[in-house]
Amino acid sequence: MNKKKTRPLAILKNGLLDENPTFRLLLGMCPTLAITTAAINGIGMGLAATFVLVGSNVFVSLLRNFIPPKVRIPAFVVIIAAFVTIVQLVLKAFVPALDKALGLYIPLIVVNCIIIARAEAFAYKNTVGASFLDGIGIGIGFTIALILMASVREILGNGTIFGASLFGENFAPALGMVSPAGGFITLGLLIGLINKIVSVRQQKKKGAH
Amino acid sequence: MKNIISMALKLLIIVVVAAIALGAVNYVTEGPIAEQQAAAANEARQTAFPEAQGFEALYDPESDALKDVSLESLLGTEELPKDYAIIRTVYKALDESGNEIGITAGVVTKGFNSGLNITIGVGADGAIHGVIVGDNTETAGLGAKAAEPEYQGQYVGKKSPLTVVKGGPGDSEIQAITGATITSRAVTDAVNTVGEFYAALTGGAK
Repeated sequence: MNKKKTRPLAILKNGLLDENPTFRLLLGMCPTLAITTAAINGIGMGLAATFVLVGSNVFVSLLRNFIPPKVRIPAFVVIIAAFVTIVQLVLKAFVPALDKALGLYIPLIVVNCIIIARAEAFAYKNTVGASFLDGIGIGIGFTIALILMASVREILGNGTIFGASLFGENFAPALGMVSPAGGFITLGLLIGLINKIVSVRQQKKKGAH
Repeated sequence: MKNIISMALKLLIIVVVAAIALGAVNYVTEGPIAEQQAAAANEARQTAFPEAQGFEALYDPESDALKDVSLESLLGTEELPKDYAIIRTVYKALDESGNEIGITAGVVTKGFNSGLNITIGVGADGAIHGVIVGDNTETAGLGAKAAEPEYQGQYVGKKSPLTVVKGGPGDSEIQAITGATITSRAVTDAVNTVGEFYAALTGGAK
């Protein structure tokens, strides 16, 4: 995946577009479809996932020389599950306000395959610093993707954005857009759009050489 | 063979360290979490019954002092109506001088999804003082709107039994949330159940 020399900025940027977890790697589809009914959820889920992703990437990277390759997957699962549970308990006990905003999403993160995918594809093979940056890049990419998708669904399906009304009383929202079917339609169209952007960019790069 | 043992040992070490870390964190956070939950429940009761100056537990299986109290023993019956199973806590609402002016009930019911937490305050005259939808997993943008003040406010001052309608609600009617009739019905049914329970409670005491 990363054959070329990895510079910090390249690792960060990688997660935003070229390897955007939602639109390019098609990871974490389940939480993506489930929570993108309102833009505010996108921020909550995105930030909580970023936090866990950075933490698990760092842990896995620290232990990468200790974990035997043949049992790495069970080791990742244990590390991720323990980390998520600790985060959840600490938030509940000491930061109830944050727990109220993010608490709902944290149990969902355990089943988010982005976390284990990055542990396997990146953190297990790279240094702690690079894994930390990868966690941030992929996390922000995931957050942006969620907000983008949730904004489309919230505007069309509810006539609001971040809870603020856009079109006044007479707007008849397309309720289907906040239903699961609307989620799939939005996701498909956005994947198509992002793929187009990435391929145009790549062609430009080729032409430049 | 040696390889397998070393692999298993390393995995064992990871698991043991994770388990110890979890145990330690749980030990530290257990107390504060219980406090936070008690504070949140108290706040929900206060919002559901703003006039109350204090609360006294009537039925709360989590409280040690009341662990022998059941809904059956409160009502003095052997068989409860099935609906009452959703009631998880009952607290007396008290005024300044400690007189009972109503109850609040904590309810866990099923809306569109399970785990819909509601706190309901009912006054001595049977009028609803407040309905607070707490933790829930209803659909964001649809059923989750039940937790918004515009919806919850509809209940205040009305008396159960209430019915859900789709527009222009009357005195004993609640306007459904657009696209979330099931959630609206679940909340309203819970309110009706608590109203019925309170009538049975006060009726039984006389």
